[in-house]
Amino acid sequence: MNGLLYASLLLHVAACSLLTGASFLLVLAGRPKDEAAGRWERMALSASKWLALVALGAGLIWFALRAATFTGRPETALDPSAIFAAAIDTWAGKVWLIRQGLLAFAAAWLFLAGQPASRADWIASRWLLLTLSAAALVLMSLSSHAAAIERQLLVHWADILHLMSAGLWIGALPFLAALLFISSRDQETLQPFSRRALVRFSRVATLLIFALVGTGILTACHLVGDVPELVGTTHGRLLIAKVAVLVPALLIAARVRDMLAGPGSTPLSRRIALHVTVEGALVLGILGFAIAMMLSVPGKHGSPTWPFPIRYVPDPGAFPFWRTLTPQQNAIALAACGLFALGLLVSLWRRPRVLLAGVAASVAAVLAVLSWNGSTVQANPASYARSPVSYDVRTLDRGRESWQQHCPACSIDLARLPLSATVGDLFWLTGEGDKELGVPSLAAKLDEETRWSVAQYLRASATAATVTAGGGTQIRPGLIPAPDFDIVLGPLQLGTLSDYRRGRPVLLVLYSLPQSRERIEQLAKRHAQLAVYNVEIVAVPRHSSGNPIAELATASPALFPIVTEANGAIVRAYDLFAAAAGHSEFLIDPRGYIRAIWPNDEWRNADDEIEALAQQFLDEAPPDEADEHQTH
Amino acid sequence: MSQLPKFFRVLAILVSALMLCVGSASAHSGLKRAEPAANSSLKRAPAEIKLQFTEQLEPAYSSVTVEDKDGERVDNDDARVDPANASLLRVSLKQLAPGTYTVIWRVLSVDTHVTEGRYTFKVE
Repeated sequence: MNGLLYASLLLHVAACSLLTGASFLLVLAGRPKDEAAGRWERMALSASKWLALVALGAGLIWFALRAATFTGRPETALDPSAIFAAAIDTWAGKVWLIRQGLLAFAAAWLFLAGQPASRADWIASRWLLLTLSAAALVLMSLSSHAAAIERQLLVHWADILHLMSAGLWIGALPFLAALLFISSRDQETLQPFSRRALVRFSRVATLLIFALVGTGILTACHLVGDVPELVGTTHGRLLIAKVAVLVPALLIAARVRDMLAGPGSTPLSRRIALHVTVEGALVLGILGFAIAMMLSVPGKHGSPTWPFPIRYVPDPGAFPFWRTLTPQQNAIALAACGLFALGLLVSLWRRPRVLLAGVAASVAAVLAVLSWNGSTVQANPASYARSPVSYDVRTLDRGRESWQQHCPACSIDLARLPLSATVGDLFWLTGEGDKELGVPSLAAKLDEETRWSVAQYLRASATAATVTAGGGTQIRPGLIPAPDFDIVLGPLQLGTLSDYRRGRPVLLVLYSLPQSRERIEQLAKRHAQLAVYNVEIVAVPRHSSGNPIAELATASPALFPIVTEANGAIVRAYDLFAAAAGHSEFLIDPRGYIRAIWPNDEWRNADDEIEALAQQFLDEAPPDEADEHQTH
Repeated sequence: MSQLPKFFRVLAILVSALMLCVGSASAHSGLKRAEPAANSSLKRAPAEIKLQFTEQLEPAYSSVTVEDKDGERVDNDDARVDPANASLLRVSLKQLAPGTYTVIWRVLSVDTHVTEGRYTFKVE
């Protein structure tokens, strides 16, 4: 089924792209003024008829197969009523119906319309074909990964522009090659026409390639994610393969531009035709990778397998400017850098020595900046793997219990675990063991899910050991993610802590009575003042009792949630970081990281610090939905 | 020109080989968060299951059911995608007795990919 899906989608998209490219080149080349040019135009129109039919047929097969996956029953692919229902009941189906309608209109026009009599008719008919085919192609974007994942308008428009540029460039090349081959055979009549088409296409293609690269980087940043996802997931590796084929195609395109500066003799036309043919074959290969990317899990949602024995770890606080940028700003900055690099490549193309020296200098500069601001550490395939268990207080509890039960004699000193070790590294450690650290292999004793829980617990414990050794109340951003938990108030369930935060800072208070009564009274009074800074309060009694609200009996009403369930797990998880068994307060920033801890009686000095930190959070990069750490 | 067909043959073989190495298609919208959480143990029976996915869902082909240890349905057969949040699937539950329950979900994201899975939780 997957092979059929891939083949039908590839055929459909290739036919749509070729149809768009053909109509684009027909517009670009202009109205033929002689018989030979007219012959090429008739050939292109004849090919377009069949391309429209192939696009329609392959589109129908693809959606029928898709409908079968919707229902989970293969026979649906042969049931017209079920396919129609899938088309009517889903967003992707409606988009498909509109696109098939546009293709059917284009096919009908191609088969039924006669040769335009006037210049105005010719222009109108060619533009109509271009509009229909281009719309059928770019509307695919409405049911793509970008449409499913992101709500950002910028990504949607980038995806649409990317599809459009790719269709125009990829689709036009085979027809351009055909035109040039014909031109080289029939030099006297066709050469000026083909040369005009080639020059115009070459100019437009430069713009298309810039659009393709810029929008490609923007969408890749949102769909692929970071370097681990790029090199460690199928989706990311397909992108690398796409770029690897794109580079020689761009080099050939640049070579064609150079050839255009020469005289238009027949041998030269043949050489140009050959170059354009190879370029066309390469970009059709790119299309193959693009379709595979459409069918694969976006890198951002995959679990990367790190392929190298080392990995790079930036120093804490390194690259402060980049850290203040939102993911969208980061993507725009990367796209700008990519376009600048492409601009340099285009302008320095004729000076290869300068170009090579520039590339070498840039690589050296990047390596110098990276080594100045960080270092490499040992890595393993699981280093960036995504934990299948969520990072919450229950997971930490389960991890602690399993660790103590199955490894009671482990002599591991948690403070010795490097802070750069990821949860994936620790998962790997529990599987492979480490004699130096005194950790045996637990692979035979524990299933993978439990080992991930143990890894989460070890990661939290190691971070806690470093923090408590360092002293002070404030913690650098991005160091300790706040373990999640359900906020339950008697019969009311307010969701999880991360749901409740909604991008706001939260002051988490672990209290016990009667020691904490004074502070709870104070917080009940200060609640409104903290709300000015957008700070929410969540209180958790250290000892679960029947009615903690009645027990508190504050003079001012406590208008913040007091958690009544799973208190033990919450307290045990957060006590890891506070290293205290009394009243403790934790300030969690809008991104979900613990930024300050006041154990025991240190809360007396906390209020000014809370307000200062809350003010500081406003200046930091706002949280992003995708940035929410669920697993760490 | 005699080299041309050979060149294209080699090119076609290379492109075909690259395209065959792309791996098979697979599902997309992942379960981002579940309420009650997987493997959780609850003191109070939940009234509803909420599943938050990574992508927006197609309501007509997204479903979730809840079964007890005997395989009997304990949900109210009203699974729906939240109108205010197209990535959130919810279903209300009958009054649950103490025991272990299995949540079984199958969803279609708007990019036409199907994902399915199951997990258990316990009511004490």
